[in-house]
Amino acid sequence: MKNGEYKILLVDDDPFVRELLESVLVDGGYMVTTAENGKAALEAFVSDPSINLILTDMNMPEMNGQQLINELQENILDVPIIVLSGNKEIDVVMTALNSGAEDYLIKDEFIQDTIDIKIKKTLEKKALKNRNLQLIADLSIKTNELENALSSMTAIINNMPDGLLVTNAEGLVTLTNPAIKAMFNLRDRDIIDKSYSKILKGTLIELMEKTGAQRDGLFTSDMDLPGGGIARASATAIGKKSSFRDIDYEYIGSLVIVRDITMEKEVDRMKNDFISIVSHELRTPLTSIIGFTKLIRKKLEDVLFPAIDRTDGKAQKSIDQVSGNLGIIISEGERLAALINDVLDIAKMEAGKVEWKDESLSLKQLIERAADASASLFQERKLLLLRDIEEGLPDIKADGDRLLQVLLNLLSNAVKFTEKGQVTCRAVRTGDVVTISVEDNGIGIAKGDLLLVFERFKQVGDIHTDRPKGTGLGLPICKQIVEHYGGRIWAESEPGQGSVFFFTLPLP
Amino acid sequence: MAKILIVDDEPHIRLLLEQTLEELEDEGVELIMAENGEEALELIKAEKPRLVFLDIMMPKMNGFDVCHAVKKELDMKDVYVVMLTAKGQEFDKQKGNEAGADVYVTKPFNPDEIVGKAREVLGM
Repeated sequence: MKNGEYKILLVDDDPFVRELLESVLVDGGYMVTTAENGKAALEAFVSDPSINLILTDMNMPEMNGQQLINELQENILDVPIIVLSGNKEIDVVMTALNSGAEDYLIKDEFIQDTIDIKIKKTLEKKALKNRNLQLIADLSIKTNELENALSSMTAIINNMPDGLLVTNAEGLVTLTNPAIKAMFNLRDRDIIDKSYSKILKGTLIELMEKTGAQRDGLFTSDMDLPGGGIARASATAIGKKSSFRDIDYEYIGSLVIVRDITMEKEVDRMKNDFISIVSHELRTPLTSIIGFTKLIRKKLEDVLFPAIDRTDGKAQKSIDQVSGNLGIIISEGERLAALINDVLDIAKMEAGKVEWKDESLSLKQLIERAADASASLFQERKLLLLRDIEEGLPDIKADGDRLLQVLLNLLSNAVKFTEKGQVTCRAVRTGDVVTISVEDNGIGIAKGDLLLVFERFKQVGDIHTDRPKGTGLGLPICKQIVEHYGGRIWAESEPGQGSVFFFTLPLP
Repeated sequence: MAKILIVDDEPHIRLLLEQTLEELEDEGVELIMAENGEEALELIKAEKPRLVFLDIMMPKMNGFDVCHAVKKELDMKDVYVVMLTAKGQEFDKQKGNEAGADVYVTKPFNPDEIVGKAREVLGM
């Protein structure tokens, strides 16, 4: 603050002194107000909150300087006081200083020089005192906030179902929680301040060691729990961005969190068992239904029907109907079998339960396999299958059966929706992926359906009469397979002119 | 006289296979049945069939174990083993290979495929 912002209350019964000192202070740039005795001074101070300092004589009528000091102290009026005194009044000055005055000035020939510096110092001191009080108040608030945060953290840590153990930079345990103590049968008095290598076992020690060596990253491993069950442990280093030192990162310890995953593993196992059982239980009766129906049809056609009089119109009609019905049972049975396969497939894929048997594959061979497998479909409809495979495509690593599944699906769809003409299968390198496409000149797909076809159980377009309907899961399964390998699958089409189904696979 | 052994714990499936292979019976092939793995192994040792249709999921002893016993332990090279599985794509081909199976057929199977395979193995 500049001098001009300070106001000084000058108290002296001697008007000459008042005048002299006032002019000195005003010259020094201070604002000044005066009083002629202690009583007047008190009144002036109480009514003017902008007074920053009182400069007072000691000998005054009505209320002297000491009495003024006492009054101010008693009423806890916090203002710095400098006392003025004559040369021979040291004991008066001492009393004043001991009772709360900050400093003193001797009314001698040097007063004009000493007054400014004394006032400055006193005001500085007051300013420091104020700042100090403010700091203490701030500190109090911060401490309170930290205590609250700490209480919350402690509550969280103690109520976490996962086990937590923290060490300092020297590897000594600083913090644990009830969960980890329960999991590993530990007691605080055995572990706090002990080295983790003496308390933890096997896997946990390995994980902690890794965090010491490598500051970034989470290290995870599954392990058995002493009390039975399986847990997943994750350890990481704790780093501090130092605010005071020059270092960007300071390693202050490590922590490990242990989660009991016994239940998760059990549920996983149950899911697998369920899928196994379901597939077996559903397919067995279906085997009987389809199998026996086929045998019946064979017996009828080979033995019984030839023995019937064909000229009997009614009998002939019945034969036709029976043959037709048996055909329906068989095709619906086969459709049900395909549906079971697809449903189990997509359930497994979505649960991430599929075992991908990746191997090095030649795309050319894969497409040939698909062509061979679907040859009969093409022959039945008298359609042509053309191949256009780029030369020199690198082998890719993937599950051959699953990629075959994708190709067969696309090829059989193409056949299904094409009356006559051809289907072309292409494979071409585009950047760092290979794009495989199956193009037909069939009835095509409406623009609004191009994305819909990849959704479960959505069938689009005309299904011709006696063709078995698809399962509605073929394309969603293709999508799962392609996306598993990081590829994309999509369709382009012009209604009435045909469709092209594309899928990409990343090249090694 | 050539013999074919049919092994499945489901009576319907045994019947289905028996009827499917009926035409071969007319041509002189003997069809034998077993309803579990243990029985199957005994019959294989006793009757020495040329061809075995072997279901996998069975009580007492499953198909893999029977196949392993026949092919690896007893080293009966002349017995052709067709494994029948209801597992579809989940079928563990590796396990089958380790057990020594010759071929796998998934259920529901095509009766023509069964007859065809039988004729091929028996040279009929």
